[in-house]
Amino acid sequence: MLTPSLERLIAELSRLPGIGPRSAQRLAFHLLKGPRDRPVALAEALVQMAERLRPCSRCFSFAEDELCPICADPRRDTSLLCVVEEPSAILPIERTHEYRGTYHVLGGALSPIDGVDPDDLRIDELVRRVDAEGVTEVVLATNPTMTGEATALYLADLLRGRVRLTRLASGLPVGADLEHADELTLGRALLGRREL
Amino acid sequence: MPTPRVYRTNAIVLSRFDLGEADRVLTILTPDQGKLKAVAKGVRRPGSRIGGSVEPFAELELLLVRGRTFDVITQAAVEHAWLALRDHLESAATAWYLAELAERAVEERASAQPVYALLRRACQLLDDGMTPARVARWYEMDLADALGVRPEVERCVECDRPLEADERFRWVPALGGVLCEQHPGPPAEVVGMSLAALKLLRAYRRLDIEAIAGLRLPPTVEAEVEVLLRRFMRHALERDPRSLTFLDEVRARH
Repeated sequence: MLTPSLERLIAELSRLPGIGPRSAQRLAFHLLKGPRDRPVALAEALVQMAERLRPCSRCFSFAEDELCPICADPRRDTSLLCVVEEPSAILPIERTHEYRGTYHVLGGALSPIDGVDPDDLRIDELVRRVDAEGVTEVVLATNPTMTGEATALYLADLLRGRVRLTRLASGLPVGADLEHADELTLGRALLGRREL
Repeated sequence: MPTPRVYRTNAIVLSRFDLGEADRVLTILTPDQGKLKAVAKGVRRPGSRIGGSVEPFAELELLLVRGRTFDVITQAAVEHAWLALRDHLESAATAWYLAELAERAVEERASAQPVYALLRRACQLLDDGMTPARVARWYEMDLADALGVRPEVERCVECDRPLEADERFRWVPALGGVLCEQHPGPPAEVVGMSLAALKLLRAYRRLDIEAIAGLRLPPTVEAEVEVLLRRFMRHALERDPRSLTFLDEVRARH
């Protein structure tokens, strides 16, 4: 029924997360309906991304040169280092405009039950950076999940005594009703309460 | 009687993996239905009402709807949060090990009351600050019991003769326990053991964990029993748990 090129496009789109065959078909037809230059621009963007993107040699986020834009920015405070699980966590932190330090991407979180051990993460690279770059504070910004917490505890054990260690606060989302909070989050919020 | 489409159960999350943009598939241990996989929709978004609850090592009360591939979690309330367990790396690493043993030991959709009660109590003990290694040994012994493969530590597994204090003992997981000196056993699977280790294994079998926690034990004997029980669990579950590598690394650093 479909042409080979269209079938290939649908097959490729359906490999994306959250996209099933029907959604892939809908996206493909949407691209066909619009102006001809739109799918071409999308294809060019994909090719450019695949060809140019590589890990930043310092923080292991995405870069097009040796260093990512953040590591290459001389205005960044290199004494402050924020540790995240994946590059995708950098963007929301940047959007807060509250952080002017640099980042280190671990490439995941410790998950012993899945066989993800310290050797599978960029922990040695982190320790080397802390020693070499004059870092004075490491912000442990791994996810507030069991695996993220264990990773933060492991890193804290490793770096204790070398630098100031801080962890992102856990608690209630701004604008939320207390009555809808789950017990784990509320428990954390109570443990981490601060004086006014 | 038809199975109800919506059901309520207590559960402990054993492991999980991300699905799609914001969902997670959880492997949960329940008392009546054993191990099962359930999807928690949208829980990776900060605004999720159940996201904070459905983390490993908390006892939950869940409301689930039966689905074609996975059941879907529609409500979750935390019965026991065990927050202190998460703040101590060795306790957390031990909890992972215990959860992996439970995941390996329990069948899907089959009653698992004893294993559920055991894991629940182990999490509580770790949360209370009990020495993680002792909780792990007690758990291994009781889990073997729950699986119907309790190690024999009173009599020779070959001749059924009561073991005497002045003889040589050998640990043979393949035969289910201790062998007296009169029987050779399968050569590759025989491990020598001390009388002190035998006594400690008996203590783990006879005493409750609260009593064991109060014992003063030489570290060498505890280490010996750890090796013996790990061999036993490896034999019972047919392979080494993956979480042991991390647990050993954490313990080596403390």
